[in-house]
Amino acid sequence: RRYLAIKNLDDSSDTLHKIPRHSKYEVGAAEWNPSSINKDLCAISSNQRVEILSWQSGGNLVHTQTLRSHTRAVSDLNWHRFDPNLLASCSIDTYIHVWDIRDQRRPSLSLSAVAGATQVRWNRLSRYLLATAHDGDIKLWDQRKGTAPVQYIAAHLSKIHGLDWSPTHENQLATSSQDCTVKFFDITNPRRAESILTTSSPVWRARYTPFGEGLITVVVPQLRRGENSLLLWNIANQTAPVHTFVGHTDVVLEFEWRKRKEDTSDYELITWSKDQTLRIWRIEPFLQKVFICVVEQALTHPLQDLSLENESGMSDMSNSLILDEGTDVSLGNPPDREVNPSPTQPKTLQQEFSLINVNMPNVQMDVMDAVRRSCTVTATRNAHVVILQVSFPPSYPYSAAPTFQFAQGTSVDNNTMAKLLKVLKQTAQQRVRKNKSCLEPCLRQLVSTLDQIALSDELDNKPFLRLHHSQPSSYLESSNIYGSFQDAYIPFPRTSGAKFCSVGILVCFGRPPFARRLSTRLESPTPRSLSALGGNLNSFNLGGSSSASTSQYSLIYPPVTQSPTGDPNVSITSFYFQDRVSSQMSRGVHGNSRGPQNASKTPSKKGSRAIVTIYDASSLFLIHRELGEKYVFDCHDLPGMCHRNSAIAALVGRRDLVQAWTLAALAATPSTKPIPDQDDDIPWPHHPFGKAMVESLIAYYAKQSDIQMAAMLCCTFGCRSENQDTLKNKQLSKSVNVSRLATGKWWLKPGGSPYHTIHQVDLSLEGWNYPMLKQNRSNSWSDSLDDFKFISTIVEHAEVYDSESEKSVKILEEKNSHLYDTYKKAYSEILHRWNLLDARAQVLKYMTTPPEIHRGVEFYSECQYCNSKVRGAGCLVCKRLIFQCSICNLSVRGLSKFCMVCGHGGHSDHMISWFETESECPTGCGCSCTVEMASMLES
Amino acid sequence: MVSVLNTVDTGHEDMIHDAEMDYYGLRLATCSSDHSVKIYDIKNGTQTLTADLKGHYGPVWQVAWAHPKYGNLLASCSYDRRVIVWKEVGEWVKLYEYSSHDSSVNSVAWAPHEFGLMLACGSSDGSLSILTSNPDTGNWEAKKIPNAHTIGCNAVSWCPATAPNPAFDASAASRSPVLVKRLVTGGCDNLVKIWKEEGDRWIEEAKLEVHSDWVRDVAWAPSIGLPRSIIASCSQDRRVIIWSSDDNITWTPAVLHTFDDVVWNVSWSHTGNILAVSGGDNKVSLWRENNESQWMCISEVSKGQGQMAGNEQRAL
Repeated sequence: RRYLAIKNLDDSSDTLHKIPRHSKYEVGAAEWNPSSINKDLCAISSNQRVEILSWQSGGNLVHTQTLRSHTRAVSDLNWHRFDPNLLASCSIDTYIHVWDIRDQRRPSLSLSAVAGATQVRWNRLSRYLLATAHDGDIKLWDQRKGTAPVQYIAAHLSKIHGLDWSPTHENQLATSSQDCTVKFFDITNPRRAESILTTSSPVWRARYTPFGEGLITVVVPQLRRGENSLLLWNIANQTAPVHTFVGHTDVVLEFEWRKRKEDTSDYELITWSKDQTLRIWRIEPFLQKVFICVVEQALTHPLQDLSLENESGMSDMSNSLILDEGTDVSLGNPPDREVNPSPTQPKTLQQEFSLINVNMPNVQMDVMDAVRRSCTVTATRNAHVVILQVSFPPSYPYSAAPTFQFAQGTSVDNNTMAKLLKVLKQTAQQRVRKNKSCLEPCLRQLVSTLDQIALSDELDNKPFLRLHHSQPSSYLESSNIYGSFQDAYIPFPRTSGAKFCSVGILVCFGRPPFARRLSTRLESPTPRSLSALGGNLNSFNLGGSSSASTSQYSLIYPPVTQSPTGDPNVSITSFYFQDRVSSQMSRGVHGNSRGPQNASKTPSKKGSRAIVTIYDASSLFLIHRELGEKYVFDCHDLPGMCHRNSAIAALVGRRDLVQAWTLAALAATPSTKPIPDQDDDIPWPHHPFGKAMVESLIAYYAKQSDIQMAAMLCCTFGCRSENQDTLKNKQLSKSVNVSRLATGKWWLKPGGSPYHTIHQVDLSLEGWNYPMLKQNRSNSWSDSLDDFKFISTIVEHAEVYDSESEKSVKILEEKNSHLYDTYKKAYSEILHRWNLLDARAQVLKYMTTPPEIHRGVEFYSECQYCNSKVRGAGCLVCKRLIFQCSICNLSVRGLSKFCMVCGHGGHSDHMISWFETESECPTGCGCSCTVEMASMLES
Repeated sequence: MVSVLNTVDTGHEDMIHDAEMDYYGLRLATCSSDHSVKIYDIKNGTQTLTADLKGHYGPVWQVAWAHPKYGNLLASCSYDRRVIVWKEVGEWVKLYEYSSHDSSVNSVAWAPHEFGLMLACGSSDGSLSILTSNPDTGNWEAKKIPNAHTIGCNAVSWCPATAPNPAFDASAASRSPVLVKRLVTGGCDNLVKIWKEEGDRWIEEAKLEVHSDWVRDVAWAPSIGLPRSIIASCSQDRRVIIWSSDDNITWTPAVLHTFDDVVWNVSWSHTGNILAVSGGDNKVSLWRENNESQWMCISEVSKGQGQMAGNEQRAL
């Protein structure tokens, strides 16, 4: 954090350079420029910035440039393999920036990925390609085409830790992942991995060797136990590693290859481990040959063992490198190696103190004195105060546990003290046995033990006031499922809402009124993304400790994002402050011990936060279910239908509809003119109260969204599809004489025609339907065709009246029929939702374009003489009856029964009587008809 | 004005994120942060829990009922990156699970039933998925619109199938009604986008840019035949915008209202004339357009203290 250490590996006399940094952020990634021109440049990432440092000849690293554009911490960076000025950096803010270091103001190229990137690598052979790792996915980008990734590989199920391009093949890359595998991909075939290498632990890094077809892997041992060795694999043979580099005592963080001399083929492997040592391994030439002839005799030895030990004194708090053995190291290129001291494991007490999380709930660090090797901690829990003095032996943390002492002011009884002490000692012992620092784990243990004690106290005493303070242990467990950086672009969950469902039902849900926002600033708006949840929890110290403790390891043990598990109570609910005791209780109990018995104890309270209210909002709408149920359809008596519907509307209390229906009744009455007076010279539909009024009525109701009334009016004045057929038939027989009369009727009227007297009778007696006429135009009126055309433009209304007293008023404009159909369709759907299927069927009958014709099952029989299909009893082609009764051998005209299996049958009564006693076919074909039919129908 | 039909204590252990009733208004589906989906039968003011669907591994954001002609189908989407289609065959079972999204799936919507069994999903990975069920085989086919919204897609809604085709010859329309599939989506790029299916591809037909923050919900108004398309969108910028168009290409925005808090939800009534709006302030308001084409708030169904207190008392 404070220093950068530089070691010149080629000069043994060179001591370590320590470059102080004045930044509160740790260095995330660092890399030297690989080109010879800018070889003195080194890029490091520090939180959101990328800094370019320049190596001066005097041994100083001078800060030259700062590249800022990322909005979140930079996770990785990589210099371009060929262009000395290009640098790619990626960040969890989802952007990948490519910088030209000559222009530091802004990135020369920004690639936007949806997910945050953790790794970025330029292709070693192609200058345009770069690969980024996002969680478990790999995206490949072409520098020339920056809008979208050119290739997308869903590589792993878990997080990818390492990514490396093959140095020899342009299209090959290797990924190492948390899921314990290393996968090799050919980018031209992203669907499947070329091969998979499986290890026992999550793989931290996998890199190709610069020679041959080899690969080095570093694993992350689970729970930090197990092997810390580097494994060298032969890609061609992945069953077992070729060689193991043993030596490091802790996890290897990073490793790199270097050439010893420009002209030799000797390679050295430099590894940097958490155990604070830097090791250089010489790869013997014959080990390189192993890849060609698999000889299992490889031998390597640590050339140098640069171990980093903390000095016993407290004076030097930085990491220092001490050369253990100076061996011959000759000049080479690149000359410098950089050591990145970002130890996750504090080495000195001072360091440990400075690293400790001071935000632990209920814990206060009073004194931390590294020189006297002791510290004082105060933990408070309800009425309990524990002041703990911890002293650290000089050899701590190497197998020497600190001692704990309760100082004055501690308010717990002896019993509790003994208990606490025991817990603390145990924890400390466990840690130092592994040579690990133990202060923070001890303190955590202290807090949780205290909590347990306090909880049991409260349970005994006052059942209603328990859990005044939020229980931190539950938050620790949860390791907040939200708030990870992936959630930054997931919208903040809705906790209230309203939805209109079905017809006129409004479903509302929301937060209970006692759930108030945690934020005290009321004016602050609700956050937009899910990640705010995490931030919020942190800032209000609910989950702060947990996130802080996990962040340290988050690189190695990322939170499981695929299946976020954990206590949901900590999630969204905790965003809203619960100031009710009852909810506090239920949450606390739930968090402490998630047993079913606890859950069942407070079901009503827990349920009360999840109420859905269903409102009947139908009164807001003009449509009415009761009307839909009661409205009548009667195409024979339109005025009557209107009057009855008007009465129904009155019943429901819709006075406006009563009037509308009365009006409609008048409009539908064809003979509103009892005495034809002189001005009655235009057809009724053309009267202002005729078609125009009806259409404006429909338009009005549609605009008011009273789709019910609009559709009903459409139906009333529309025509039924079945009527059209009957009309058509009638038209056929009547068209000739009717048309004669009709054409003359209006046409001659203005001139005072001789037909005038007939007209009054005709008006109600005769008529035709305009569209039908067109189709059924017959020769008989060809002489008056012109007349007819003229009339048809005026007269779109006509009546049909025949002996069966069938009548239909067509008063609506043809060109609107599509619109009116949609009204009817919309209304029919509402009726469907109301489950008023009869009414719906009625409405659908009025559709001018029936949506689809219902087809039932039809049975055909084949004429046995001419093989044509016959529907009736006789064949139309050969005019013969086709069925013969298999009992009486006579042709069947009436009711018949047939076996569907053998096809034999005959007169119904003959068959019934036969099968009363028999089960086989009367023809003797061997078919047991009753059984076969039954099984056939069953299937 | 609005009466309470039912108060359903869903028994969810965490916040509810969505609730929807089925086609007939007889069943209620709810989903919650407790990873479950619950289905209730609602009858005469009583409710019975018929199913508690557990299959998601994360908070469930939204549920949607399919048209009953396909059976009792329910789709749900979750933070766990998956979409599940549930079907009732005696009991509720998982019919189909779709897990090709890379991030939380925020919205699901069934297409109008005229188009067949078709589901649109919007995810935080920015893409949009159209899932189609083959009526013969029952297999599902997924079509993805990648990068529909950079950063993330928050809401999807279908254009009604009965939407009028303006400037269309009436007779031709009645002979062969050409149904065009359209979708509206809203995302973290502050945009509302309209998509149209052309051939077997989905193309972006319009991009509506007025919101100044993430769009949280979009809703295409149901059509009763009026020759106008209307879309409502709401956003983190606390505004609700009503977009109207006569040709589905040029859209005219009108700000309904600027609310006090972020707006999460917009929902049209079936007749398409009333809009329910709800948001971060836990309030629901209903809006109707008056004859002067102004949107008026006609009521506010705020979750009243009294009513909730009543529940509390019963519980205690």
